[in-house]
Amino acid sequence: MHSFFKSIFFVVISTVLVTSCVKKEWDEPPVATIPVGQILTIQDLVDTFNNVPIKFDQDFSLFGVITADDKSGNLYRNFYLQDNSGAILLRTLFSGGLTEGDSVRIALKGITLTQFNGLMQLDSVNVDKNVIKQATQRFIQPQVVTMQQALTDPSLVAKLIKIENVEFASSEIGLTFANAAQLQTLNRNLVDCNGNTIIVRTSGYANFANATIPSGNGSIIAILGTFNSTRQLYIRRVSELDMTGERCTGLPVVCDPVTSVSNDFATAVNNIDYAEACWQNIATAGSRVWRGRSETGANGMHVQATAFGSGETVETWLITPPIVSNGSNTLSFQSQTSFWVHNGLTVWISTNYNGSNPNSATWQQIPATLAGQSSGSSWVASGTLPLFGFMPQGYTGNFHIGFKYNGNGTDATSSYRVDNIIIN
Amino acid sequence: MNILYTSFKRTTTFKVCVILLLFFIPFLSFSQTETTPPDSLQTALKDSLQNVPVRVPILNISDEDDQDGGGQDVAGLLQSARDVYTATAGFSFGVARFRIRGYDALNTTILINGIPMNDMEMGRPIWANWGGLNDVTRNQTTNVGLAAEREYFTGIGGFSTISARASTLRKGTRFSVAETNRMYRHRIMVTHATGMMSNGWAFAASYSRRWAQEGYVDGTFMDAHSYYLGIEKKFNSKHSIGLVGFGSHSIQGLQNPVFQEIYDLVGNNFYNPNWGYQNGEKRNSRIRNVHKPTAILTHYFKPTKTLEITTAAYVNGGRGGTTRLNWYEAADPRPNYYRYLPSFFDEGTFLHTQALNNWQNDINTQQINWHALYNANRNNLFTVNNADGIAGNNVTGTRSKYIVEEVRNDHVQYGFNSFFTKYFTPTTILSGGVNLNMHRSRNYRQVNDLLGGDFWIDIDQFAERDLQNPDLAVNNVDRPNALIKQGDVYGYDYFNHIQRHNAFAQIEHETAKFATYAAVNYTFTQYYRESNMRNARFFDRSFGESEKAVFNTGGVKAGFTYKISGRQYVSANAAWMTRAPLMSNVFISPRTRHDILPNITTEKVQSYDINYIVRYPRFRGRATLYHTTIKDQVWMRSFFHEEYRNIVNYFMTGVNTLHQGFEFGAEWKATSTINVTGVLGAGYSLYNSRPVATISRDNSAELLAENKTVYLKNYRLGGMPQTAAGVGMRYNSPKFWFVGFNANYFDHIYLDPNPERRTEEAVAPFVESDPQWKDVVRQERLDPGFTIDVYGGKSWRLKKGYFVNLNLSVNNILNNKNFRVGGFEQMRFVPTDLDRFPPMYSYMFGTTFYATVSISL
Repeated sequence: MHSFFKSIFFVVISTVLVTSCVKKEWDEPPVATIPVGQILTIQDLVDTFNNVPIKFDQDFSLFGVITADDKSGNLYRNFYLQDNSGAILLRTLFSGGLTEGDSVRIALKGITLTQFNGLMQLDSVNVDKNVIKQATQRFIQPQVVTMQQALTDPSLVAKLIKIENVEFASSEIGLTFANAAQLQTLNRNLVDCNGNTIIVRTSGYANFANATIPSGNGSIIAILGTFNSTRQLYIRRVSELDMTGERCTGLPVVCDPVTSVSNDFATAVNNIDYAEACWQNIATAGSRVWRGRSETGANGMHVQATAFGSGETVETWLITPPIVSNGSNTLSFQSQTSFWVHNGLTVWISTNYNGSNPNSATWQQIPATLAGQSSGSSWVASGTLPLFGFMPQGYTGNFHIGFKYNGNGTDATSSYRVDNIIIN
Repeated sequence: MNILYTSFKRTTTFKVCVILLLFFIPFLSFSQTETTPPDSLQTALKDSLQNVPVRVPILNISDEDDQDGGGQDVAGLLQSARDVYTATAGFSFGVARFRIRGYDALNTTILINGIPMNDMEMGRPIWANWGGLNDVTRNQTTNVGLAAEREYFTGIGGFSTISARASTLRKGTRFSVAETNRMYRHRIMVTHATGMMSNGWAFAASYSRRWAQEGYVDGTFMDAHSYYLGIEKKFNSKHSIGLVGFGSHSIQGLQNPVFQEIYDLVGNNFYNPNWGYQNGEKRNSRIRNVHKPTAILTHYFKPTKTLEITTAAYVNGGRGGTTRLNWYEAADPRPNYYRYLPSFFDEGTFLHTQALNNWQNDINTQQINWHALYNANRNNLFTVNNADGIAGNNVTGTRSKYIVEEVRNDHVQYGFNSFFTKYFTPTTILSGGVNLNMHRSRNYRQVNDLLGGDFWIDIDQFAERDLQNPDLAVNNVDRPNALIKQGDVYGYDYFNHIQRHNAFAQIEHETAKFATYAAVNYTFTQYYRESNMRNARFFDRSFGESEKAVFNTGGVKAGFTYKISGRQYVSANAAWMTRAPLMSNVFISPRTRHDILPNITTEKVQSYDINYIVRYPRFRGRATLYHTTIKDQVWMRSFFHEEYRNIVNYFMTGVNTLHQGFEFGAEWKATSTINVTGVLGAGYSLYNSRPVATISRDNSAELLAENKTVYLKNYRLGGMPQTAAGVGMRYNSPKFWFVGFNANYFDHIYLDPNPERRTEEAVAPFVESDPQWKDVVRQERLDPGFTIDVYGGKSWRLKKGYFVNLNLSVNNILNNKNFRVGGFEQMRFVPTDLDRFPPMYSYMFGTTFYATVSISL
């Protein structure tokens, strides 16, 4: 072959040999080992801590089991770790990565031990670097305690506990754990049969935020948290609430629905909080409620609400018994004001009021003619107000009418009176 | 237009120049008029009008998918009788992402042996499928814009017909070696063709390899093997049969653009976030691996002297895929994630200083930390209950938090093509044909590397987080809690079925003064989806076959050329057509369900051009005025929406674009050895409607937004210079060598606008007089750029008839590394803090070269 070609081929072949191998397979990098160092217990950490954050700069290890993870969304980047000596909160740099039941070694180097509002925590935990999993599904059984212990025993904080014979407060029955729509965290009150109360705190991000709290009595499994001196429970999942037994504190009185209402308040007592079976007289702000009042004249006894001299914000509801919708219900009543400085009365209708908490119901305002600045001291007739427009077409369920007074002790002190409520 | 040269008289030069000048005056003033009045949403933004991140090759030169724009021989281009404008645009403008007339590549048709090669799903020709076969694809005819074409009803952008028959390849052996510093560094190529032998057989074969351990950009590499085999048998004067097979298997490490803060932090405008060190070597997380070969069996039939019929059956397909990182319950492994950058933290804080320091000094901050990903996976012991849906099958192992997955698109296409040309007289020619295609692509995700873990679990982590019922997070109901190992398919797995059938006819007639043509076309398009997985969130409409979306479209085009003299011509062309939207624009979320975008309709295209052409022996040139509207387009992006924390599909319907401007290219043989060229392309490509946006979530039926008006009118299409100008000079020595240069100027480069920023909601925080209001809606115009390219070559004829050619071209010899040739706005933005999610920019490479030595026997 031509020598020119030979040299060209030589150059080409050597180029190909030198540069042709384009790498595609990868060796795995060596396994990084994280030294164990001295082994500590959670109690050791608690004992060491003297209110100053400690950042570990040497190799220490802590062994324990994860009792709660952030999977449900009730906790976020928070995990609870428990060993035989106690329990502690792990706050991680990123969400996820640890699962309930994981038996782990925590390499403490780089982690900060601190306290947040009374709760001991290991902060800035990098799950990829600080946590070495030993085994999975080593579930810890909850410690059975009384509510009294949960409220007072410092050694229980951050532990997984179970409290028996408890129920949610009767005023909250029918409500959800949290506000999922607005991602709002809410507290619910859990009571025992001895008058103790503890908060159940649930994040609006929890995947069970929108579930209704159970209405019966029974047991609850939860992590015991603390916020300064306030103990609170974080539940892991709804199935750990076994509350179907008979209540010890009773439910709100359930009134039978009526087909019509006619109340001239003849049974009211002057200057005494109005109390009538199945009529509800509730303060949702301040302590004042509707009271009986007498008058010489055509109206006789009636009820009045006023913020005058209260020194506080007043919001009070007078709510009718449940009324069965007949598709053509009407409402009429009379109102009167005195020492008028503000419009303090509004009238509402609800079809989902649970009989205990007006704030948890949906109310629509009824545009009634009401006493006001110009009406002086005379009684004002509301007119006959049709109610069917506030209810779905063909609705045959119950509804409530609520008379709400709003005021305060400084610049909204008007007195408002209501009488002769007639609903047909 | 096949226009012949005749002799040129020096005395006419001046006259021609004056005529040309007069001709251009209206164009020049027209080009300076800054478009139509601005849209009402952006009153007073007249100077900031302006843009779709499609990076597209202009015609045949710039090999987009290989990103090796200068891969072809310079000499071949510049010595060809090709249009000066097209040639310069290809060689010098391509690297700046110039697109002829601002068109997307889907408007250009590529025909190989008469078969349309545009991808059925993307509409564009995928050059990578035959990349590296320069010796084979050298026989090509290119036409810009509307023109008569006897093989197919081609797109408004023009066409290239490549003749890759065994009998048409240049006879002999050709061997070449190329060295470059672009996407690859070395290329070897060997081609042999017998030509048509006396026994009626012709054989041709070609092989090339292009490779680099590392390309121009850090962490990129390439390895591509390309091959071609052609056989042809001529039975008699009437019948020939040809078989060709070709393909290119390329594996390539990719680069992704980032925002300016990162380029500045690392001091490198070619920073690539995709790689990191593993055991001391650079590993790229985004690797494209494509091998989609083609085989064509053709029957060439000439029953009479005036009739030719070419009929072919073909098949095309193979594997396509790009890898990327995926992760579950773990920190984002990408170094360029915005929360890792100094700008995420307040200046002066510890975290800011720490991030700044790490970005400047720590390679594991600047790039992917592969070792950390391995360690995280190895340490993540996990128990899967009821694995693979088998009760009691509880498996404990290390569950990968990070994996490399490959997003696959494998397809197979069968086609039949037949066209004829009938010469009624030498000047009256009828042609026509049919083209039938059955295409099926399989789309799925596959685990490429578990990175040290034992398995991956196939659940939708966004659904798992958002939906109360954990069963709904299952991607494959028939295999819940699936343990996914290396090579396993997961996430989604569906076919796109496309049937596209086309028929056209064309008549050409030529008289002494006029050449005219007219053509009509009808296309039937049918799309449907067929899924192999039943998705828990769309139980009743994710599995099996979807309903079929059918589009019946058609078009007409016509044109004439008037011969003013043998050396001056005027021509004009017009086309009206409708066409089906791309399949990816028809299905709302093909990964999860069958749903079809409501009110989907065909695109309506109108295109006109008028041309003035001179062809003197020593002066030739073309000036063109064009006007094109494309109405009712669909604009779709799928992306991770940080705010919704979910993958969303963002559709705009009723997107109209306008492309208008002029082109000028001229070449003057100043002496017998010196050529001077001048080229100018100026125009505007812009949106001229207010589209309506629909935003859907990938993993629920919920529409996040509907019927949202996007105030896009008069925004420019982005990512390309809308003005490009070049002058060049070339010296041809009689002693078989040449040298030349081109100087190029690029302007009117705009960022692609994010539609969300041009809505009422986006400007809601501000009153109209507030400058921040304008900041939200303004379109960023990038700085103009200037580059110089040089080239040269020499040929030797050795004894025994060997030829040796040496070619060298150098692009951007001034090494301008600060020229931003493209970019786009991020889809996420905060109206009151636009710098939070700044735009991504791409820079043109600095000096690159391409040197070839070839030997022909």
